[in-house]
Amino acid sequence: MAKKTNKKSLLAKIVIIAAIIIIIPFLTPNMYIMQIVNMIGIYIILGIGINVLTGFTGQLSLGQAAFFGIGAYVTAIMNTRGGMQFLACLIGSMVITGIVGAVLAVPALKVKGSYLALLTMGFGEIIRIVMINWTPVTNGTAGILEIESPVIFGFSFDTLTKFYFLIMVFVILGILYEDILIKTRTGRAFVAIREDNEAAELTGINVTTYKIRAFVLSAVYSGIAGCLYAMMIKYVSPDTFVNNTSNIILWTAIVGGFGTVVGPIFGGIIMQVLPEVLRFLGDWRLVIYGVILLIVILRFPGGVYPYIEKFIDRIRRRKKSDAAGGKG
Amino acid sequence: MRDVAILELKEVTKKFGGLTAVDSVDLKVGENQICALIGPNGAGKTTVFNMITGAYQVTSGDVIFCGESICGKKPHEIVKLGIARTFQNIRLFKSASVLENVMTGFHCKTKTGMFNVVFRPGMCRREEAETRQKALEILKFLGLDNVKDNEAGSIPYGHQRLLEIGRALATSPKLLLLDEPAAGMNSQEKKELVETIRKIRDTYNLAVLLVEHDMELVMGISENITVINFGRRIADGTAEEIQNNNDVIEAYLGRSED
Ligand SMILES: Nc1ncnc2c1ncn2[C@@H]1O[C@H](COP(=O)(O)OP(=O)(O)O)[C@@H](O)[C@H]1O
Ligand SMILES: [Mg+2]
Repeated sequence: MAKKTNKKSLLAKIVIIAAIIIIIPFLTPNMYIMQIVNMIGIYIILGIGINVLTGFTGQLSLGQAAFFGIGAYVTAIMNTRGGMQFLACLIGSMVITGIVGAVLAVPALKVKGSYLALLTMGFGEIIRIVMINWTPVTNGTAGILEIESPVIFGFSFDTLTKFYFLIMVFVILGILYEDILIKTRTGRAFVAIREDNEAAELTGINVTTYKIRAFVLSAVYSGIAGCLYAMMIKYVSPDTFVNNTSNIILWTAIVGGFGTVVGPIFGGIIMQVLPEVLRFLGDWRLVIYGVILLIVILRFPGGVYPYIEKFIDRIRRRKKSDAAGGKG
Repeated sequence: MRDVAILELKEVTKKFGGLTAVDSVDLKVGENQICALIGPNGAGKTTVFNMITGAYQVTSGDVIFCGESICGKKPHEIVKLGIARTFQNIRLFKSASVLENVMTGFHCKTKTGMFNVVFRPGMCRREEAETRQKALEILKFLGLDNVKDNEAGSIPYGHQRLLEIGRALATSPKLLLLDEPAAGMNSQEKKELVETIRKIRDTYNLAVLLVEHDMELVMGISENITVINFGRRIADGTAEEIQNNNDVIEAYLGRSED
């Protein structure tokens, strides 16, 4: 009986989520807004990526834009120079960001707290400088132009609306994978490391390899986001992958729900929509943006998602007790 | 002492700069034995635990576990070999649930990784269900099953100490190190703890080495007691022998009586 209702509510959830995903592009009035919606999707992937590393494993990263950028550049180079299509570029971006993630993990293992923050920030800056100065490969400040739209088995994702569905596939797969992983042994090891590094080691967890895994995983998520970004915007340049982008990625996780799997959905929406809504404020936009974010963090410590979850729970319980009352 | 020593420390020394925290200490724990390591505050007891578990490297000497030297091994490798511990200052994974804490202890006995959650989901689901089941059994054994979903940091102090034992048991140890397990417990809880430790030894078929300040508890439960003071071993023997040892009375029991 309980199992049956579980299945039913799971089915209901799937139907509702599918409906929302399908309806969104129809409600989108123009391509400008469609692009913002797609950017939300890309930032959701970045947010769930950083959550593995920072939210679950407790390793603060202020350099996620570097992985995002490497993913974007690898795709840009493979596509424009190597003539390779989406899937090959995607795999290339994932592999290279994964390797760079593992390499960054080595010095990162030696430091924690604010030193780790500085180290990752420095890493972000180094990668940005490489993008600017390694001109033969990256084309310097001019960036790389004329990246092609993704083509998968002959189907071309050549409009922002088509691209939206491609992004959604990765958002869903990304969330599902993290949701499953976090509930297993690996997720428990991540959380143990966040809660108490040494106690984790003395509980039989190889802290070194699990920290490396967290770095690699979050880098690969960012690499996927980078690949999608490059093929959507069709142009990459060092200006995109700056410190501010790293901060927005971190805030996407913090505002949405630190150490939660679906929190970054809300973080992505808030972080991308807010600056657009505030555009009418002109020069004051960024000030108000900052103030609002501070208020959100003070009002919802741990991010908005845990509060949304509680709210939905309360409504559901009220409905249930209403139904039970009606019967009795 | 029985012939088969599961753990043997041979002239183990630990120096912190100029300070010799542990000075050439010998210690033996027999299979299935309950032993105690006692001594005044700062004597070096926790440091001994840290060397056994690999948290600290020994400066000199050797640690033999099941006939093999474990010096130089990483702490997580030593856990896998069969030594588990609790901490003097409780170190739970506070914001995880009680059940999750124990499940985390099964880490080195399970295999689910980052890839096989995708490629072998059936195996992973089975392993997960099994881990949960075994963790629940441990919680039931310790009488913590009614708080399994609570945050570990939110349950009463005495329960947190038990939970640390539960997390340690999950690693299937052959030797369990308890660092002041009765600290902060009332006398009723202490009595129950003695029973629990005996029950653990018999049910899980392991040896226990405990550090404890409560002399009644130590004398009542230990088959062998090692006493250290200023990092040096000053006595070793049964409860009776220790109670009648002049050095011990002077160094430790004498002081605690004034
Ligand atoms: N990591 C460390 N660095 C420096 N000194 C330490 C360290 N750990 C322990 N000590 C010193 O070693 C001595 C023994 O400490 P400890 O083993 O904690 O004693 P006990 O557990 O018997 O109370 C103390 O003087 C303590 O200050
Ligand atoms: Mg101590």
